[in-house]
Amino acid sequence: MANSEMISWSADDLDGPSLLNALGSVVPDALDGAKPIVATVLTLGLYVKGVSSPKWVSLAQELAKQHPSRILVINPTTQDGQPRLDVAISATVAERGQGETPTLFSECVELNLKGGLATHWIDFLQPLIRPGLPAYLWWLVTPPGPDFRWDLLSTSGFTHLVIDSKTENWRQWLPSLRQALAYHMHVDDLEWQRLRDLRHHWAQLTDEPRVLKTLLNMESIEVTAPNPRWSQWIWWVTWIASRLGWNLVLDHDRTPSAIETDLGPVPIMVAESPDTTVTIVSDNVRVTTQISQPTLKSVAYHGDTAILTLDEHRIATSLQEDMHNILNRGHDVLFSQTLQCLLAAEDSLGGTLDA
Amino acid sequence: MSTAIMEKPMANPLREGLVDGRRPQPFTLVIFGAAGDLAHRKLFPALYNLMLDRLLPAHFNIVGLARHPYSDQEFRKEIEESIRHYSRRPWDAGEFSRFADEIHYVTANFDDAEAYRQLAAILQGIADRTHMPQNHLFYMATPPSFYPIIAQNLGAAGLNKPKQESDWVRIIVEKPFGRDLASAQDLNNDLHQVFDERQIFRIDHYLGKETVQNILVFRFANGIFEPLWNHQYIDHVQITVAESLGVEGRGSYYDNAGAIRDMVQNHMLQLVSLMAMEPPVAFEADAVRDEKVKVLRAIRPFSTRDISEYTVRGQYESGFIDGSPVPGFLDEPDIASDSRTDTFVAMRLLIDNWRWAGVPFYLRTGKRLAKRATEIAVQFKTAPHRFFSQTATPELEPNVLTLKIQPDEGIALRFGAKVPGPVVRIRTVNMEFLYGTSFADAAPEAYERLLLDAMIGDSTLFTRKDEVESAWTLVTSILNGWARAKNPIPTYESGSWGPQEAEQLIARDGFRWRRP
Ligand SMILES: NC(=O)c1ccc[n+]([C@@H]2O[C@H](COP(=O)([O-])OP(=O)(O)OC[C@H]3O[C@@H](n4cnc5c(N)ncnc54)[C@H](OP(=O)(O)O)[C@@H]3O)[C@@H](O)[C@H]2O)c1
Repeated sequence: MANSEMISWSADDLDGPSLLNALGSVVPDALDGAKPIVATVLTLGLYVKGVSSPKWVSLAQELAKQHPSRILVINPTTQDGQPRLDVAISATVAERGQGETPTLFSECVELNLKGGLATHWIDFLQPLIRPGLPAYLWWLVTPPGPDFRWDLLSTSGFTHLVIDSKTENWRQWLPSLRQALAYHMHVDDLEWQRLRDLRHHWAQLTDEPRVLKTLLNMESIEVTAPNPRWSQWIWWVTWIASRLGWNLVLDHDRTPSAIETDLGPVPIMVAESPDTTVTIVSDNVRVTTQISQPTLKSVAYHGDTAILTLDEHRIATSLQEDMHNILNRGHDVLFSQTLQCLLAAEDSLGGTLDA
Repeated sequence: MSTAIMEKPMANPLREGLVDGRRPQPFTLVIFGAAGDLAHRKLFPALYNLMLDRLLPAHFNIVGLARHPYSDQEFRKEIEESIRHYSRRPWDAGEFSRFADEIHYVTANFDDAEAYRQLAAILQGIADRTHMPQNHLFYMATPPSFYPIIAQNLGAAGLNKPKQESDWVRIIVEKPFGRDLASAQDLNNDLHQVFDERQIFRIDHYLGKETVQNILVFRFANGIFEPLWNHQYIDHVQITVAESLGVEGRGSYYDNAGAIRDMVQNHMLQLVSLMAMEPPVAFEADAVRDEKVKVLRAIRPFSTRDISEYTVRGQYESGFIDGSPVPGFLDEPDIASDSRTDTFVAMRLLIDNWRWAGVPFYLRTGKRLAKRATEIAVQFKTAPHRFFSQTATPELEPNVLTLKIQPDEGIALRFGAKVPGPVVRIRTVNMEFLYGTSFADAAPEAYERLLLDAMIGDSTLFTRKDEVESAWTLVTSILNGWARAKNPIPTYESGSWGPQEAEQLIARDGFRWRRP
């Protein structure tokens, strides 16, 4: 963005109407009364509840350089005490040609909420969401509690919920995702996004008819990882089950234990190990992928003979890039289908996990 | 007796739904003319950027062929240098270390049969070493006279057909594709001696541009425009491709081509087709191209009289561009002093079908015009009832929807709005959407998209045989008409908007050209 200018403003102990007023006047005041053209294409809410690292505001501002947005950083610091709102606004205005109206490219509104406002933040946020455009709520740290008002959230204008199942045990997100889906929100997970390399790699592997045959006739799945709670393997097996129209079986603590294939159950064995690998095994072929940071390395063995290898470089992505990718690619329907497969497996256990 | 059953290979279920999963299978790209300008400025950087976007397979190879002597090592260095110079994203040593498994170069003349045996041996060697499928993409980045020669030699060396059913062999042919209908047909025949139509990818790099592709998205992904997109609501359409540059060192090529061959036959008729086509039944190569061809075939042929009335050519004289003096066309290097080549063309097209009956499409393109601008302006009919005719607004302008293709990509809608005050006064205002502000991501280069599509085998954005020939049919009739005319070619001052005759062409129908 050539010739851009950052306009900053902050105030403590504000009420809602004065905040709206400030949002309408901060930029024109700084531009000697000129009303800018608003170029924002979405609203981006970041629910960060007291978690100060990473630096959400600068992360959001970087994102807004690529996706002009109104960013609302929602930070309910404490529910105790008197309601109080402290606000900081930073707006990026781009100059166009000489004599032309400036463009308001992004606004970042940092909201520190206390007391009742920290609880009833959804009501408070509604007038701040830009109407008619996609609105994303990124809820990346701890999942909402059981009494969270999903009904209010879904009517507030937020159309998309984005979570990060890496930061917490993925199971804790399941009830929230179920709720968000029930209220017709689009749901995405940054961990799913990070799995993109592995999914593409496996699509490339199964382009090879022998690997595809192994997949269709597999007898077991093996997973090793330093942390077996690693959510990506769960998305990986669920994705395979969902693509092939097979059912997933969960054990009592909601961990996938088998896939019900057309040929019978395929057990999933998970072991702790310094190496992260995923493997499918049929009676004579074994296809294994070693997952490390710089590479994805797969080998298909027939007995002891390697019949196929595929090495691919992986890109290490930052949190900001992961978020950018979700905004760029939009909601991934494949993730919804995979999530449905997981939720169906949970349904068949009877009763769902409480949040 | 063998009872082998021919099984159709099963679709890969893990590929389904990978929306961003258009990744080609491993391949070897063979560039004829690898020492040339196009390879250096466009092809190597495009490949590199595709790799950075993880859109290339893990394994691919490059083989270059041209006269300039390079060793394989020097050729790799050349590729590196051109990426350093021309890539839209910076060169990165780590990334580049993964750029292509094998890089080879053959120093040879295109008409030397031995070169093709050498090429076949290199390709076989790659296959033996890498065990990769033998997918070959041949790119003709050469002077056009070599297209048939290369095709013929590839055929003679047995390189035109895949080795196995699951492999593919494709050929990309650069522009210009012929210089009139007969030469385009000859070239098509020559290529078809060796390759099937579905193996041939004829490039029109305009179709690789994001904003050109957006014409289809704009028309067919938005419910509000399509109902208005016809003769009932549209008054006329103006398409402008204006350049401020002159021939820029390409004098000898340009003097043989002219604006009508260089711009109208390919790029501008593509824009007309995309604007005027019916919705295709699917966004799939043949469905889209079927509809585009229908438009070209529905363009009313020009009679000799139409050519003099509804086409205008011009040649630039000296003048000023951005305040600096520039020479006239005839004073440019490598231009014949009596050249009658057109550096400007304007014309009116009529499309004889139900949707466009009576809606003129005005096209204009030229070099050394006042400003660089490519845009399509759709002017709507005025409101049927002059409701506000008694008010103080005599000069109410019709609505215009402008698709701006370059340099400020975007869309603008002009409409009337009330000026605040106690009387009804209407002023024309513009509602503008600029790509640069709404999508800040750098758009990929046209060649990235086109190379990727050819590797995947998607020919939607490439021109089909009948499409090229239909476009040449129209343009050749105009060229023939011009050849018969002996009158002097109108001239225009560099830095203007073209010859007076172009203003008269549109004024006869009661309109004026827009100032982009
Ligand atoms: N440049 C562009 O931006 C651009 C844009 C659109 C379309 N195109 C089209 O792309 C094609 C290539 O254009 P270009 O600008 O790259 O041309 P160029 O710079 O002249 O390159 C031509 C290439 O062909 C090689 N060559 C020519 N004659 C040969 C022969 N007899 N045997 C072996 N090699 C031979 C040259 O190799 P040596 O140098 O070793 O002789 C050079 O590598 C043309 O059809 C052009 O119309 C180019």
